[in-house]
Amino acid sequence: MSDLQAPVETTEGGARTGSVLGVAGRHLVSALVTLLVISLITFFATSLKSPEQLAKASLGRYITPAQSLAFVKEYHLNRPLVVRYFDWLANFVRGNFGTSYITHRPVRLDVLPRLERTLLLTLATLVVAVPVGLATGVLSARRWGTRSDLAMNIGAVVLSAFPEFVIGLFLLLVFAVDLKLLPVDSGQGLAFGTLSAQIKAYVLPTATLVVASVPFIMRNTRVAVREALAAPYTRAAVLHGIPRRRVVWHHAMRNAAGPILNAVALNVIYLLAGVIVVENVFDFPGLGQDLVASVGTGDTITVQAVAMLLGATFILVSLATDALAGALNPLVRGSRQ
Amino acid sequence: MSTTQAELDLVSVAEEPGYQRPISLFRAVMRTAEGRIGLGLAVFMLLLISVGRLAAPFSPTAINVGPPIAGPSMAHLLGTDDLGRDVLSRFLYGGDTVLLVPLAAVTLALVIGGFLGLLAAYRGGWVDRLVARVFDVFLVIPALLLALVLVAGLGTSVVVIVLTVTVVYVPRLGRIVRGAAGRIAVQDFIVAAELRGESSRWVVVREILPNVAGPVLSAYALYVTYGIIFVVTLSYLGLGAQPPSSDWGLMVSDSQAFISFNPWATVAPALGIAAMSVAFTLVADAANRQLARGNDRVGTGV
Amino acid sequence: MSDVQLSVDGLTVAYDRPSQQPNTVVWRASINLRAGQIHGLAGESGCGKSTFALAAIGYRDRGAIITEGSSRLDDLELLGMPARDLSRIWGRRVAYVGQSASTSLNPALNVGLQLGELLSLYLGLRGEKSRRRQAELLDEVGIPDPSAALHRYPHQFSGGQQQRIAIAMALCGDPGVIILDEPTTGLDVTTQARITAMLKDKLAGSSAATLYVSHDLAFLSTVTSRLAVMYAGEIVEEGPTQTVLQGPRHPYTGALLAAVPSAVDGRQVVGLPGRPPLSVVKDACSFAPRCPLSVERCRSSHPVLENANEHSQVRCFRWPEFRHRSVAATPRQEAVRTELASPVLAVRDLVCVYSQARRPAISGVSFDLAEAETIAIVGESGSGKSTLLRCIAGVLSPADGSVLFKGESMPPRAGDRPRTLLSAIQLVFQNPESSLNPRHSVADIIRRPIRLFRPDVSRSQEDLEIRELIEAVRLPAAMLHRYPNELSGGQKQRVALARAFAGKPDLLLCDEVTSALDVSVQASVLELLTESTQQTKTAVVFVSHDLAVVRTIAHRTLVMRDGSVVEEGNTDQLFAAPTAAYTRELLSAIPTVKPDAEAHATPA
Repeated sequence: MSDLQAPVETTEGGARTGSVLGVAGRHLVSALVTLLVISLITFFATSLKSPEQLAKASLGRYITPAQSLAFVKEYHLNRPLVVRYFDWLANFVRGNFGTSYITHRPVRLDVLPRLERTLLLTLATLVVAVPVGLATGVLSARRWGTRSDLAMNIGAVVLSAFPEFVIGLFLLLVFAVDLKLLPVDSGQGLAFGTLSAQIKAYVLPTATLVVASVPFIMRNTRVAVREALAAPYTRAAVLHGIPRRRVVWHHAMRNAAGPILNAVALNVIYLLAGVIVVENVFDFPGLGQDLVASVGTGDTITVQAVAMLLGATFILVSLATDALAGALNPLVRGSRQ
Repeated sequence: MSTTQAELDLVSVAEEPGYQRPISLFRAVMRTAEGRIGLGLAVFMLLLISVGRLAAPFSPTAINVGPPIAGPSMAHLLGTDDLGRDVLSRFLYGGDTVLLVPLAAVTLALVIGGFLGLLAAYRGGWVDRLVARVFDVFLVIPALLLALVLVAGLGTSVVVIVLTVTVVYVPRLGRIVRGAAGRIAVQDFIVAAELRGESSRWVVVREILPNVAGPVLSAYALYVTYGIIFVVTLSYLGLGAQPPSSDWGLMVSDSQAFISFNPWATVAPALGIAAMSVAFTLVADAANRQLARGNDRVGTGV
Repeated sequence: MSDVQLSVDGLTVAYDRPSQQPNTVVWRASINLRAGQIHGLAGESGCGKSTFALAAIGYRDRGAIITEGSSRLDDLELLGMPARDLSRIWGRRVAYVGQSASTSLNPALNVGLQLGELLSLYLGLRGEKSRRRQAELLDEVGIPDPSAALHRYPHQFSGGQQQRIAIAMALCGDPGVIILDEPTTGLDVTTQARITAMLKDKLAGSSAATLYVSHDLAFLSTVTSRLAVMYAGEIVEEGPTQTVLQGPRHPYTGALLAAVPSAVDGRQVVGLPGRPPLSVVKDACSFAPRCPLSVERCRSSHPVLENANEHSQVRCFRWPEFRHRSVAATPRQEAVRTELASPVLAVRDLVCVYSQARRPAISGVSFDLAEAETIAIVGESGSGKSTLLRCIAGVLSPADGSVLFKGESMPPRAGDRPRTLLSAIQLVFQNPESSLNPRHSVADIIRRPIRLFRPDVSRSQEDLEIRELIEAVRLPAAMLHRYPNELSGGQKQRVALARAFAGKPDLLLCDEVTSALDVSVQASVLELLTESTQQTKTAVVFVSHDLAVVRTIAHRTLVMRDGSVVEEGNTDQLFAAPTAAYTRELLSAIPTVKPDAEAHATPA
């Protein structure tokens, strides 16, 4: 067929206006599937302990068989696993996180304020890390191949090699122990302190997470911007006489935005692990600290709830970033790194 | 023709000025400062964690060999911890698990993931789609979350840690192998091999594998680094090595409580972890950089 | 006398290399572009023509330095102009259309936005006025349903349409100078013809001065009025197009012309041995190593551009003695087709479907092939010609129909065929970059089929055969130790041929084997192919989109379209008097170097 008769193609998935929704739908489905998988793994892994072990953990080592039986009945542990799974899932979705074996309190009471703090910590991190990462990435890309670019890049590589707790401890050592500027123990400040004490409690954990996140965002930004700047359409735009500044921001960056946002979305997932670690380093009373503590005490119900909450939060944030990436660049819509 | 075809064609690309013969990845890495520093540091750390213990003045588990939480002194170069144990000795003994556990797990993950990835790339069709789907599902699960959940259910032990790390990295490494092998599998020389009636074994081992060795090994180095960070973090959280082990991660968390009094008990293992991780990261990064430069300089083989 | 819009004088471009002398890729090249004229610039890949074209308008890639020369746009000196001033000139007074529109259009913005931005920039148009003009522009370049097209993204258009859009964008500012850098390369023949016609149309009315850069002499002959030929970074000949093409003065131009296949008379092509130098040669004639006329002087001193007459220039010491003799069409050896001998290959009603496809890739294809006969399968992209080849080779299984080899039916999949059969049917691929394993040496590559198909052959006999094969494809034995990425494209194809012949095939399947090669390299490979297959009496199925190549080497031709056979017959007859309308359309779309021959006509 000559090109004159060739029909104008449409993207996969239908007409152009529909495609944004179509792809968003796909992402939503895939997010839900992931959550489902997390729920499955969480529930079944934590259910590996026998009811007797759980009873002992809850009530103490020396319990009678009768007590054990009562415990099992109370928590419906005698029902088939699959049924319990659906019960749990249904409850979770309704906001009922169950009652902990260990604390004997509804999990919801302890977990929700922690969720708030962890969210705040994450948001504070993103608010600082993303602009810094973007700025350094763009700077580096514009100086691609120069010494300053190489230095920044190697710096980022080395920094990314440090585990978060090492970074955290270093910051703790310098700012809390040596300089005594900030509190060693965040927990106290948050629970009882004034507003300024509360804010101070956030500083070191946030700083640690920022230092851990910036290299990743920077390196991805650098590569994405570089590719966009070196792309043929950038040269074509320059040759059309479009002013350089506009070429960089309106044409090139638009194409770089997609991969950059994908990287940020990925970083959000990494932050999930980072938050868990950092909260433990600073004894920060968030979800991460609770999770580790609960694993230690064998508080499986809390573990289940916290794991799901953490997973859901981070996956949703990541989903939002992916959607934003798709809005900016139609080619990226269908793909997900 | 005035001159013989043969003579003129002798002037191949290789003779032109500025042309550089392809070199192996290893040599290319060694040529960069980054690669040399990384490899050097890695060798040093390997020596430290293997034979360093021969220089330890005390046993790592011997308690009360000195006053507790004492600063550095002649007898105890890095001071002592809360149980009066010599920090230096504990440090010299504590590095092997930091490397060996991730190394074992990542190697296992490479073998399994690599096999699946190669299979998917070579067979194509529904096998490829299935493997890719499975990988995708597991890829999204955050590693630490999975680890915590598994430990909650199965308890802490080396086996559980290795299992967790393997499960987490199989899809990641598998995806890389699948990608690299996939790019090779669509090349015409693979079709040419099949049209010769070559066995699958031949195609995978002699045609595909030599061409993916470079990228795969470079990814392996990278994931060993990730593994190191991951495993040591688990130890730090108390989910990995257990007392009285002087595993560096555990050492850091054990001594954090008295960091104001003898920071060395925390700083020494933290530095050790950092050095190990940085070493492997530099090597992996140098390798990736060389590969990204393109095949005109660096052969994809090792 | 039309006036000069862009005057390029002595332009020299070099690339910086760390700790080495800069590598000069264009040397003292000059061109004058006149209003209302299309000036051609011909050359093979790597000669520097694209670098020159970009430098001529003041643009240079990173790492490139313009060391000498000038380029004047009217009275403005473009070289050395600050970027800000240059960007006011680009697009408005000087336009550039590059080769691959799919990458020069921004994938993240729709067509309307991209056009609108330029209209606003050049002409100050906004809003409704701009939209109207945008639609007009798209219509002028032949995009169907322009108003709807404005909302679409580049990847939603076909390759030809993308290029039309790129042309619309380049011309919307009504520039006085236009640079076209291989604008139709990579597109289908009929698409190329249409776009070229559209361009000619648009340019005919305007007073713009145009530079048309291309490797395709035939296209240049139909479009340009003056032609410059570039070799190793220098202009070696320049003059009125017809003069240059019919009475070339430089041996390289002559060699190029001898290598260009013709669909009109199917004459033999003559290959040009050797390879061009990778950078400019300053102390000798750059063409000397390959020149039939070269003498001592050519190798020791550098020729300058001399006036051959008031209209033409040539860079050669011995140009007065050079006479270009066009090789007369020699009748091809007809294959003996007797009723008794069973054809080597018999294809009957072959149907092949890709999984998940709505309609078959090929359907109802039938033909016979005799021993030592070459049949060409010709068609545009999507015609199914490669699919047909892969079906015969066993890469794909047919859904229906049969393929008989030497009278016997074969297992449809190559994996089920015995070694003897695999050895007898060999496939050579289009892309030399991907058909050889980069980790295997040339010797390994050629040895493997011998080892596999004839395991009883002794090691020393193997070595002997390998040497014979490498010499048969006219490569020196020293090549055996090399690896593919040390070889050029033409050399790689030769190795691929050697590998194919190692199996001593009765049937050779060639999938666009010269499409990725420069014309002079292509000619060498075609020469080699014809010679070898005649010697070994191998039957050949030659798939190509290039009708001129087909006319040159095939005894019989099969024309395909959308999976079916449109026409089939003896090549000369088919080309001289095609019966099918589609064949006629294809033939009329090919430009020829000799425009006065009957085959040339403006595309339908």
